[in-house]
Amino acid sequence: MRANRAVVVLPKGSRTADVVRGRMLALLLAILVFPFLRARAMPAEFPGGEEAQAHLKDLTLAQLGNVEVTTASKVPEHVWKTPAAIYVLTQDDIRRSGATTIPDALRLVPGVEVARINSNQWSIGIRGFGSRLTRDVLVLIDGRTVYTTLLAGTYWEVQNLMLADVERIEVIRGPGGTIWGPNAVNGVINIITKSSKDTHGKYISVIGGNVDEGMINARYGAGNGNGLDYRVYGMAFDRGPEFHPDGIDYDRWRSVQGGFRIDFANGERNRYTVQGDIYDEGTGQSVTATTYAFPYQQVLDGTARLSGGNILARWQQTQGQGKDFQLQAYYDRTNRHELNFADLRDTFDVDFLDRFPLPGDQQISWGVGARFSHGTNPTVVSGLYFLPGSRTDELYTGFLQDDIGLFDNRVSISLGTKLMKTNYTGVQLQPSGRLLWTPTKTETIWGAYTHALRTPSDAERAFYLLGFTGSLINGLPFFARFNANPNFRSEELNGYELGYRHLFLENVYVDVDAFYNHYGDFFSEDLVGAPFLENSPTPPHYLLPAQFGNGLVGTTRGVEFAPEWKPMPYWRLRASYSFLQMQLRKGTNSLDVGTAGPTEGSSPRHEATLLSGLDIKKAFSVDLTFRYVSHLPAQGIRSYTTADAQFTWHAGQQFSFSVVGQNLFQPYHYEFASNPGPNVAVKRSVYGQITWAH
Amino acid sequence: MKPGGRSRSVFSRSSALASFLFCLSSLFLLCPNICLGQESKPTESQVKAAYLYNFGKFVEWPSGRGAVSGSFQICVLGRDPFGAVLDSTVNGESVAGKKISVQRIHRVQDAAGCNILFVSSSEESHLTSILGEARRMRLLTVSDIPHFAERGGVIGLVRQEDRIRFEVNRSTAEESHLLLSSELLKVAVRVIERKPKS
Repeated sequence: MRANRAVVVLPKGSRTADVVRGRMLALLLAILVFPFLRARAMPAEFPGGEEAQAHLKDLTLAQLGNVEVTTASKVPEHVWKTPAAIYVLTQDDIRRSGATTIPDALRLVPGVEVARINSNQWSIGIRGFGSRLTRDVLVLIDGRTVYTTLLAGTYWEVQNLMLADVERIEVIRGPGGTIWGPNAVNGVINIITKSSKDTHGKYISVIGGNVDEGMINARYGAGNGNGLDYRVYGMAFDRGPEFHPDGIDYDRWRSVQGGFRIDFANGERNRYTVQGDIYDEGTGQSVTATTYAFPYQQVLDGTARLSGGNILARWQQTQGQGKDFQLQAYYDRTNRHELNFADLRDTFDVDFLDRFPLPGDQQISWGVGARFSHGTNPTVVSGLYFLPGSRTDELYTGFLQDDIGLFDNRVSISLGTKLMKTNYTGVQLQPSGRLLWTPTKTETIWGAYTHALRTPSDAERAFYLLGFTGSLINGLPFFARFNANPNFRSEELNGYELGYRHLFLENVYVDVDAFYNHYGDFFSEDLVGAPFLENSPTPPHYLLPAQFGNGLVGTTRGVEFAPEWKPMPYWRLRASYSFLQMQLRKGTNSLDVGTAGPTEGSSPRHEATLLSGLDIKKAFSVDLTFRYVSHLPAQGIRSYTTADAQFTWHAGQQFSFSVVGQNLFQPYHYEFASNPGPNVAVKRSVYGQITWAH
Repeated sequence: MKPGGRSRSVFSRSSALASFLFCLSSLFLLCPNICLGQESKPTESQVKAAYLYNFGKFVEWPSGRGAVSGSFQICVLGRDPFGAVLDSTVNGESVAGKKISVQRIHRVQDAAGCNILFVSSSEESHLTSILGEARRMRLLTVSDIPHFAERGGVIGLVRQEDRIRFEVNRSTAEESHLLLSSELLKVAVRVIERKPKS
């Protein structure tokens, strides 16, 4: 609550911290107040605006085509019209963030909690519930779901892309079940790469630094000028360990990856895309291996071998008259060899989407899809296994939505539902109703009700996880084991949202969203019986039986506030503040052992960011980011404030040079707990980057 | 963890850095007047407005058009992205001997007196019906909606890197009885000869 007052709060208790805090507040004040003073001193339009306009209209068409323009701070139109809490990170935002990975870029999105666990792992949550995998956020890359049904969630360390080829990342906070499918309970992260039409030429970028020790990205793209375009890329990096208080630097991360994309447009009606990636990486990890035989429990430090590939084909047809459809299919292969388990997986997915208008400003969207994910999990350590060891997860979906425009399209209503069935569930519905009102040209108000589901995964239905708790006096080991729960159901959400966007004076934009989520059948850890002597598997041991259940219910509520202001054409300021309150409790008859508190205490109640992006003439850009995250009591993590800075020099058309500093306010800080061993802290880091594009 | 012991060194080292960042930030605040020698670029809206004004000069207009009001009308359909920029661009200018005026309209049915119809991206969801109407009314349709020319608009403004260029659909122009000058077709980044299938 203490942090309610100021946007940026540093931990108390040190004199220097107070000085820093003082400076931060002064800076904030200066940023907030100064431009108003300026605004009086000179017209709000950029200097020479009138003359420039007079000059522009006298240009020939050819000359006009060569005028460089600034990017307005205005939000893209499709964002403006979306009745959901959507935020778009553009290529420019990503480049200017200095991030070298997608998770680090996501730190800029309001309401998204990104915490680094170690050099190659993160906890990324939306509106709460962040964890190593985060089971209620759906992640897609170019329409390919990268959420795994094995342990429910996203392995971010294998979702690498050449960031220069990312067109945008759309983050939808809140449930998106109707359109996006199961597991889009708390949000959707939709990563979209550029069309190969937009990546012609050669591009090489080299990075060297103290944590991002080395990274090289290279791409070549071309086209035949007649609708066919392509690109190929390769990337490799070596990321050093973060800070380990015990000196055991296990988390080095090395990766090589390559891929391609081909786009073909046959006239204006049909567009075809084929793309694929292949990767091989080693991620250092420290895991607990539990075995029925002595020594029962060991910590293993070593390197997980992760490799895989995917290929996707998409056909889009625009038929005119508001009619279009899309057919997409992909295949994804995953080889995951961790120190304590393995997953070898083939996923096939096919999706069809169609839209057509109906009389009376109605637009119908519908689609069907199917996914088969066949996984094999050879047992690596005896205390962690899946039964059966080889399974096929199935998903069948269908959806129907009607967007109705009323009162000259000032009001639009979207009604729809998703129908789905998995190998673990019967047919289930995910309906939603959304309302968007545009009272004036510069304002939108929207509200939504959504019912969304997180479907059962192999982790609940086919997974056995053993934990060693100690040896008894008679020398027999005592274990607790989560057994597979054949009755685990989908987790349910009923979400209520309200949002407001306003564009003031062409250069100030404000987005406020509030939500109230009610969760039912929520994930719990249940004790299901008294300890007993189990003789098989050998040796004999005492076992406390447990399982994952649906024993919790609860609510979350919160507000996200994201203003943006472009005081000058060359200067953009963005801020965000998000507030989150989580209240979970045991449902009636729940056997939960106490999951509610630790879950509530693992997401920050307050988060704030302040971003400044400045262009100095054409040649330089300077970007500063301040971030505040409040404490995570259940993780033993204190609140922190830190900053990133990036200086870029665009030397002519071909070269640019950047220096990026990250996590600058302290030599290291903690963001999330890691297990086993002491927590790993995020180091202050600096890197240099040279980019050549031709 | 021993947070107390650590925090001292954390902040003493960071204080120099924080000061540096603070000074740097303060510099930026003063910067606009002092260090940016003003070669600021025009906005997208300004360039698009200039195009709208210019396009009028490269089209042979069917006779009788706009005769009712006696002015050359540029109409903006839907949410206006230009604000005052468009008005100031065309202020006092004329095309084909007629004074240019700017109208904001909310339904394509109100476009009867228009010469140039700029279709705002707010109207994308019912673009097809708008374009059908516009062809019937013989309007020069212009928009920055993606693939506008492909979808049956006459001129689509497209952004290429930091520049605004345009595509022309010649078939739509013919259907709308608009004669486009060769210079317009020469400068277009793409000339589409096909009709959108209807």
